[in-house]
Amino acid sequence: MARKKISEFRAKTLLSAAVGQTYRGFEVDAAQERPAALDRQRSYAVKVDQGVKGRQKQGLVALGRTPDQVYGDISRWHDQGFRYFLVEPFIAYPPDAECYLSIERTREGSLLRYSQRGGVEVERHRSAVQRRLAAGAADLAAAESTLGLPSGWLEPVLKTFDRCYISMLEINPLVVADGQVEVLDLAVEVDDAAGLMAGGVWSPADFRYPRTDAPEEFEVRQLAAGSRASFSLEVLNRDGAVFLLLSGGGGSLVVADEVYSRGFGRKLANYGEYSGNPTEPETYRYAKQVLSLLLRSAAPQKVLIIGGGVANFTDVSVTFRGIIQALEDEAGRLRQQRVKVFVRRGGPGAATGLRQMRDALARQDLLGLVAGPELSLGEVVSEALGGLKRA
Amino acid sequence: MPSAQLFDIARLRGEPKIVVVGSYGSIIQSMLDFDHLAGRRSPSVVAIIGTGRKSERYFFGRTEIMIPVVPSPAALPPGALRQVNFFLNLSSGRRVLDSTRQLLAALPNLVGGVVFAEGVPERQALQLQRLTARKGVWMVGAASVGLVVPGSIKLGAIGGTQPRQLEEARLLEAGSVAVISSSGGMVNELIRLVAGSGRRLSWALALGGERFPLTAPREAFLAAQADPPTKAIAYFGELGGRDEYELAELLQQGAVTKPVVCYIAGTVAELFTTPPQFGHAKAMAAREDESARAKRAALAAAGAQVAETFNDIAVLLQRLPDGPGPAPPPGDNRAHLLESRRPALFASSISRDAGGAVQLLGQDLLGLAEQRSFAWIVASLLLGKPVRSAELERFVEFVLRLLVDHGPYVSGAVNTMVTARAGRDLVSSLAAGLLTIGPRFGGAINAAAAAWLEGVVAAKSPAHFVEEQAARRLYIAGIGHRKYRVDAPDPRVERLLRFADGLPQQRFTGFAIAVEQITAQKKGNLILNVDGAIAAVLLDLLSERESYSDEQLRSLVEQEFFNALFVLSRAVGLTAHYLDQRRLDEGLFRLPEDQVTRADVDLSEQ
Repeated sequence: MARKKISEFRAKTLLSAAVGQTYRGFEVDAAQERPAALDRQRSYAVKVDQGVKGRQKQGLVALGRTPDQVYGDISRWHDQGFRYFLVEPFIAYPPDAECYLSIERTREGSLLRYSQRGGVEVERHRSAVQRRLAAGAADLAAAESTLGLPSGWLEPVLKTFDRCYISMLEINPLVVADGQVEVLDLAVEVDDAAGLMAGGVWSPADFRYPRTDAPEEFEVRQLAAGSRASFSLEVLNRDGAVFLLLSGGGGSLVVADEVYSRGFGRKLANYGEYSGNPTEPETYRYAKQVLSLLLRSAAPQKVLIIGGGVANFTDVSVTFRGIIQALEDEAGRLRQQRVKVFVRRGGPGAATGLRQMRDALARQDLLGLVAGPELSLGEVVSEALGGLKRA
Repeated sequence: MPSAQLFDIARLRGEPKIVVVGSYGSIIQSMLDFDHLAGRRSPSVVAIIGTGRKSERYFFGRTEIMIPVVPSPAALPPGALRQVNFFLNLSSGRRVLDSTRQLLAALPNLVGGVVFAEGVPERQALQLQRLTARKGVWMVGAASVGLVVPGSIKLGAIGGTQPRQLEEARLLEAGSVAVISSSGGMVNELIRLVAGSGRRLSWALALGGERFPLTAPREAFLAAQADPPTKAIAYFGELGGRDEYELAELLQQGAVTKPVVCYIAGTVAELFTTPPQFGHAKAMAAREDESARAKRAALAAAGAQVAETFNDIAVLLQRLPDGPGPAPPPGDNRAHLLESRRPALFASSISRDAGGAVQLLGQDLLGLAEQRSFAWIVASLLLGKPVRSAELERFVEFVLRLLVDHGPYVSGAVNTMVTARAGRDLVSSLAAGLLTIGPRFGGAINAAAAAWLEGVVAAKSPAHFVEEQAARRLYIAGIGHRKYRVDAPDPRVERLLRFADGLPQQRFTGFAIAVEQITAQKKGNLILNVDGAIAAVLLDLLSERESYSDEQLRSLVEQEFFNALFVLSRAVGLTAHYLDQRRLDEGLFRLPEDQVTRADVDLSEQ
């Protein structure tokens, strides 16, 4: 469905293999194991390995650490909620040696971006970044010469880039000293639609997210992995007041925009959507996860917005049956928390689906509003936010 | 990159002949309903590429039709191959590249098509894009719900799958606003907003929310500019990617001069330092200039009417120059007529009741009975279409006579006689005999046809074929006889083979005889038998006199057609044996005990 970050550990293992080196770092999963014994004579770099942007600035990277300090860093970050870490031998280098290199898959081809002024300040030196499509050997040679890379270094990297269905690869900083290439920080995004074609060099177990999943998010990922329909769920604010149970990539985005543009962005609890005509048990499972988030939120007042645009081929009566079942399961607790539900939807089977939804919500005293396409997406959001206070 | 000329709306306003890859009943049905409601005389979908059944049943209006299903585009009949000009690919993301390649290779007159699947890997999407340019065939998608040109073509689920939805969305009335959207759901919302504004669509297109859409917004905009009926463009875009800058450039350069109203979704991402992945693969802003806000600003600066909220599009549509004009005449509202359809429980292609008279193959039964031979009626009915050649008719006549009985000693006759003597009735006794027919008795004609067909179609040499069967320790159906030998041939076989004499090719008869020459050298009784001869001659006659393709012959084998003549003819003999036993009034039969020998089996081994 999209580009996914894989762990820096997996990324460095792939890249090292491509250029004929052995990667000497290792990964620590704080939920699984104690970190391996480190060599007391050596100095280490340790960092959070969860695809967090701007790690250095957030203090999630520590350099030149003794083994004891490494253990301490890991345990401190673990307490902050991080789970995956990368430990590797520390390499010292002069600060002005930091270069930048990235490869991105674009419509025109594989796009190289590179600069001799890399490191955390690369954004400030944006004009120094050169762009070049990797169309032939001359393009690779130009980038290699600018960065001082050994001739022929990039070719196997690009091969791996293609073979492993990588979409984005970014090395920053890249340090070349005496012909020795050091890839200090590496971020790689793979194309998760190619999971079965990349030959097992990476798997969904390597995907990393900036923070640890809520159990509901994990559950929805599992649901999506085993279905021909698509599902997504992302917690934005654990104690939010506005919950979304929406269908369609575009419709869900429009509804989220409407909530934001009315000044309720900070109260938005989640984003997510289902699409591709899921089955009734699937929407039941999905709705259960959204309701579980909703019931745990500490917000004093909560609303749930269900539905979305006018479906093309998704059967509204079938998908709504699953949602209604989940609502019925939790009706008592939803009533206790004085939750109101606002629904807007159209498409095949909408007349039946909306009627059943209205009946169920009225019976359970959860009814905010149930409407078809005669009510716009903006209007249903207005209605839902009507009784809430702004952030 | 496909050029603007490639994606040309005018070519969508002709006669669409669509092949659908994969099957999605409600989507295909909605395309046929669109055709019917638009007043087309024939359905636009000509075939489905899929596996399993030979055809699928759909409605065209209220009438059921069969749409042929073929395993690959190359298997389409030559007429259809040349006819097909559009495709709808409903196969999964992983299969899209392969299946689309097959389409482009097999179909010479393709104009364009839609890719429905979500999750086409980026690399494959880029390969498809290059293919598009090379073959001069445009593609929309991936993850596209399709495109629709009111009154002309509906290629995909776009606009809905229920007849009433098509009418409500005004998809049957041509107008002046082109709708272009990255999102499938929002294309529908825009279509409705256009209808609500009193205007009608010139066409609508869902580009799909993938990272690399096969048709980029830029190409769709140029198509709208080049399309005379289109007077304005309504566009839905999202954060992520830089497509909207290309659109802004088109407006600035004056390459697109028609008014544009648009909404770019995803301002909500401003709330987050690390925004979540929104609904579509493309909806992720890697840099500031890919944000919804920045792209809105660029489009507004270039002269587009940019809506602050999605609903404002309705207002902007109202304000478009040259107003909607007089309201188009209301449609016929015939959609509700399509809603109470039920598929029939059975389908039949050979006979029916027409106004009280029975028709066989479209002809009055009484007329046939008066003018046609029994053999002609039998062969035509069994084949499901009228026999054209006198040769086949004569051969069937001869086979029906020849197989009528083979003495009271054969298994089927014995069973009928035993049953008759047990006092059972005609039908029970006949059934007892018929039920004996199978691989060892009477049912070998079909197996022989399968063997000759396999050998001839695969162009195997007879020697190789014989060795292969021997290596697999299989008897060759159609070879071997208990009584006759090479030096004392079966006179029936010689007569049967004469029916192939006038045929120019005799592929099957020739092959069977060549096989016999090899096997008869191995053992004197391994000669072509009656089953093998009937199968070979029938195959040759169907192939050379009735124009059956090898594929059609294979399908006759699958249906067990080649055993049908034996069953029919021998039913006469079995019935006769029943009547004979009744006439003779033989009592209950019991085997003399010395006719059952004791088989010693070592029980300890079991």
